[in-house]
Amino acid sequence: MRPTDKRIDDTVAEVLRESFEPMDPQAKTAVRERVLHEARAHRRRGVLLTLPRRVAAAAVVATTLTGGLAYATNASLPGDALYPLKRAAENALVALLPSGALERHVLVELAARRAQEASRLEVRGDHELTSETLGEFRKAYEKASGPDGELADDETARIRENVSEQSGATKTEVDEATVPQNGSQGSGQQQPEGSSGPGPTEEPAPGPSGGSDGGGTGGQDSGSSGGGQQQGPGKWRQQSRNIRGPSGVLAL
Amino acid sequence: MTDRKLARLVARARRGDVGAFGLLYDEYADRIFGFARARGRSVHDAEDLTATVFLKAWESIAAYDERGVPFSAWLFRIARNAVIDDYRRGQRIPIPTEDVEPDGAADGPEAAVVARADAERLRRAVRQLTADQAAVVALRYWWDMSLKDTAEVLEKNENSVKALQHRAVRTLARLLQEDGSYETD
Repeated sequence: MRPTDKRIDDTVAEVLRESFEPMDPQAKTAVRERVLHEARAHRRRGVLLTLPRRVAAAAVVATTLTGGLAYATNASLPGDALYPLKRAAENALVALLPSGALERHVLVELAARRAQEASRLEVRGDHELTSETLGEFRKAYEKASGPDGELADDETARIRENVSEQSGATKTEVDEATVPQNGSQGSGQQQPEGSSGPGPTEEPAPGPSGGSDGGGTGGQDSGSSGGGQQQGPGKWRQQSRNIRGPSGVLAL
Repeated sequence: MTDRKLARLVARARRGDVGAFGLLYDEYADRIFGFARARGRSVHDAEDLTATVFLKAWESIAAYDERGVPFSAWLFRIARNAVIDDYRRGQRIPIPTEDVEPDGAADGPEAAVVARADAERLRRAVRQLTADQAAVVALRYWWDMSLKDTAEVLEKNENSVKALQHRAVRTLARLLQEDGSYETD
C-alpha cells in the first residue's frame, strides 16, 4: 500500500469515527430512567431467577423446610425456568440429611412430587415431558423404597395422593409401582441403618451409585444430579429458552 | 471501560443489579443510538429503539454467556434485530442506494473525498448505505470493534468484512460527490 493511501485510510477512519452521533445528553438520561424503571419492575417478577444458583437453591431449601414461601418454585414443572432450581434444592436437601426417618420421609415426598409433576404434565397434554418425568419418578421411588422395595401404606398413599384420575400413563405407572406386596405391610417402616441408605445399587438411570454409606451417597446424589442439571444439555435447558423474562437459572 | 470492569458489571447485572445495568447503559447507549441513526431512523425513533434494545437486553441478560461473544457484539445483535423488527412493522426508512461500484476507481480519490467530508454530511451519506455496509461502518468506526469480532457478529469472514468496509468508503465517496459539495482531485 502506498504511503499516501495509508494516510488517507487513517484520515478516513478518523473522520468516520468523528462522525459518530451520540445521543443528546438529556435524551440519554431520559431513556436511562425509562429503561431502569422498567427493569426494576420487571425484575420483581423473577428475582429468584437472577440470584446465583447456589444462593437461590439454599433459599429454596430453607423455605422448603419451613414450609412456606417458595411456592412458585416448588410448584414448577419440568420445562419451567424454575424447575432446575427446584431439583437442585431437593438434591441439596437430601445431601444434608443423615440417613434415617427424616431422610426417608423426604425421599417419599420427592417421589410424590415426581408423581404429581408427571400427572400435571400429562393432564396438560405434555406427553414427552410426562414420560421423562415418569422416569424420574421411578428413580425417586426406588430411592425412597430402598433395597427391599417397599413402602408403608401411608407413604404409598402420599405418593398416590396427587395423581389425577385423568392422567392415564402416570396413574398406571404409579399404581403399579405402589401395589403392596402380597402379605407384607409396613416393612418399609424399618429405619434404614447406615448401610442401607438411599439408592439401590441397580438404579437404571445414570444416577448416583448406591453406596453403603448413607451420608456419602447423599453427597454423591446431589453432586451428580446437580452437576447433570448444570452441565448437561437436558431438555429443561432447551425448554426454558422460550420463557420470557430473565431465564437466569440455567445460564448461571 | 476495561474488560474486567465490564465483566464485573455484566455479572452483577445478570444477578439482577439494576445499578450495574445502568452503568452498562451509560457505556453503550450512544453506540446503539448511533447505529440506529445510521440505519436511517429519526432521532426520536433512534432514542426509542435504544430503549427497546436495552430492555430486551435486560430481559435476556441472564442468558448471556461471557465465554461466548463479547458483550458489545451480543448487544449489537439485539440492536440489529430490533432495527429489522422495526422495518417489518412498516416504519418508513429511506431506501439505501444500490451498491454500485464506481468505474475502475482506486481507493485513493474516494477515500480523499470522504476524508474531507464533514460529520453531518458524512452521517447523511452513511444513512444511505446498505444494511451490511452501515453495520460495518458502525462496528468498525464507532464501536471500535476488532475485525475478528465484527466478522463474528455479522457472521461473515474477515475478508468479507474488509471488502465491505472498502466498498462502504467508496460508496460514501460517491454519495458525497453526488451531494454536489465535493469534487475528486
